[in-house]
Amino acid sequence: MNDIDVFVIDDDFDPLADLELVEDGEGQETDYLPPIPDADKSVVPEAVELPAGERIERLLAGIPGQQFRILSAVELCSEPKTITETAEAMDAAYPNCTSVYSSQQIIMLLERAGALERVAAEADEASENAAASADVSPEEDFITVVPAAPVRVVATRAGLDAVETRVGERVVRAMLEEEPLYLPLYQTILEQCAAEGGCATKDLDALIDVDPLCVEPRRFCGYFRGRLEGVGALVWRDAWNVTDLGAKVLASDIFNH
Amino acid sequence: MSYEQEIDFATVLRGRMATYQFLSRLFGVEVDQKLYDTLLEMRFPTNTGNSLVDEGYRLMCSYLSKADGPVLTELAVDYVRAFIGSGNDGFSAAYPYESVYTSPKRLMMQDARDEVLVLYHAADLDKKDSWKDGEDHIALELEFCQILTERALEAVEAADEERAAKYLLQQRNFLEDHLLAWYPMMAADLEKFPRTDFYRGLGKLTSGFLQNDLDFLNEVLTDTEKAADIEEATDTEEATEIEVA
Repeated sequence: MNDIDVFVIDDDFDPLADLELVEDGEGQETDYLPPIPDADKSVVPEAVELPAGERIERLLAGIPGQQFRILSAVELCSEPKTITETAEAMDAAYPNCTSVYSSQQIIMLLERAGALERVAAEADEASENAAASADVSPEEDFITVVPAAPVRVVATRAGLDAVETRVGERVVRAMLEEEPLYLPLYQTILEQCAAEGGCATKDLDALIDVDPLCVEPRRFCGYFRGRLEGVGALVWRDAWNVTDLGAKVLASDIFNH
Repeated sequence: MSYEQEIDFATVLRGRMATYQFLSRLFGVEVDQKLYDTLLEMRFPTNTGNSLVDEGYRLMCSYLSKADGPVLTELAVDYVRAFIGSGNDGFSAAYPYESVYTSPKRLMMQDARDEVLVLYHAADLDKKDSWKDGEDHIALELEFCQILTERALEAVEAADEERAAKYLLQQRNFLEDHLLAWYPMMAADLEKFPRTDFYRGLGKLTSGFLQNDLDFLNEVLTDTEKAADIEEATDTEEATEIEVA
């Protein structure tokens, strides 16, 4: 083979021949296909309704930072109240709330979870009134919206049970009694936070982190503060403040032993 | 056309324009406080002669009369449930796009969108920058009909019957080729997906109104065509007489 033969261009050479590529328009489908074929023919199974207790549990677990605010709505509705009244009372109790859920939305979520229910007689009456306003005689040419009478809501047994399990002096005491060793630290935190204007985080840390009780096992102030907040004894309002419940526990005899 | 008839015709056009605007707004975005206040003050007709329209208005009115608490939130949630859905199989909501119902794989931004875009451009219209959806969204198609009606109304008020007929014809073609070619399928989905009577009612109301509107346009345009034929025939006869003389 001479040099000229080496550089002869082979017109039949196809660099992609070995790859066995499929010609356009035949073979594999490269367009988008719906991920679920024949989805329009699929049968959606019936939703399984969970018991109210479990639904409330899930609601609170889903918004853990707001659980006392949510449960306050149930407490407020131990007697029947209109949705507006309840929402106003919640807003007054939690004026600096940073939640994305408005009080009315919380009430709606509680109703869906089975912690609140509409007062039956009034709900029926309201529905009847609404239906009556929409059922007009053929002679009338127009119908107008007749706003429904405000419906009142009341706490259900499951809702009240949820409050009892999570809120109250008994719950705080049970938490404190789990770790009697740290009672003096809890007492100090509550006392500091009971002061006018509350207590700043760094001041609490400075006080608790150096305590000999925190050395072994090593604990920090955040641990105790978090537990007190979790049972509703402390609340953050630009500083750590003791709640009414916390003040009640502080005044009780639990720290005297 | 007598003066009294002209007044009536203009009033009918104004009514159609308002209804298109109303429907377009309801399909476009969720109900806000301003619209909700308007709805509470509205009078809903009950004897329009179209059972779907009557049923639609009745359902919407009945929902608003029963609603209590955070109505706007409930309606916003139902809007998402009805028009957006949560699945990716193409069958999880009443998707408000013509392309979804006219393309084999139920995809957005298909041929239908290109077709309506050409029509909008031909009518010197373009979407606002704030509109981020496809141009074949039902809200835009309804708004297009509203604009054509508005132009027809202006022509009627200017006593320009030819221009008015042109806009009405354009609208009838758009209804036949686009809105009524696919909306009935969306209307069937609108009976399945919403949970409030408000959006179920909207589905029925739109179905009934579009059908009514096509009947109206057919009637008006047939009359106009007949009148044009008569005028043409008269002109021909006069021309023949002149030639004979």
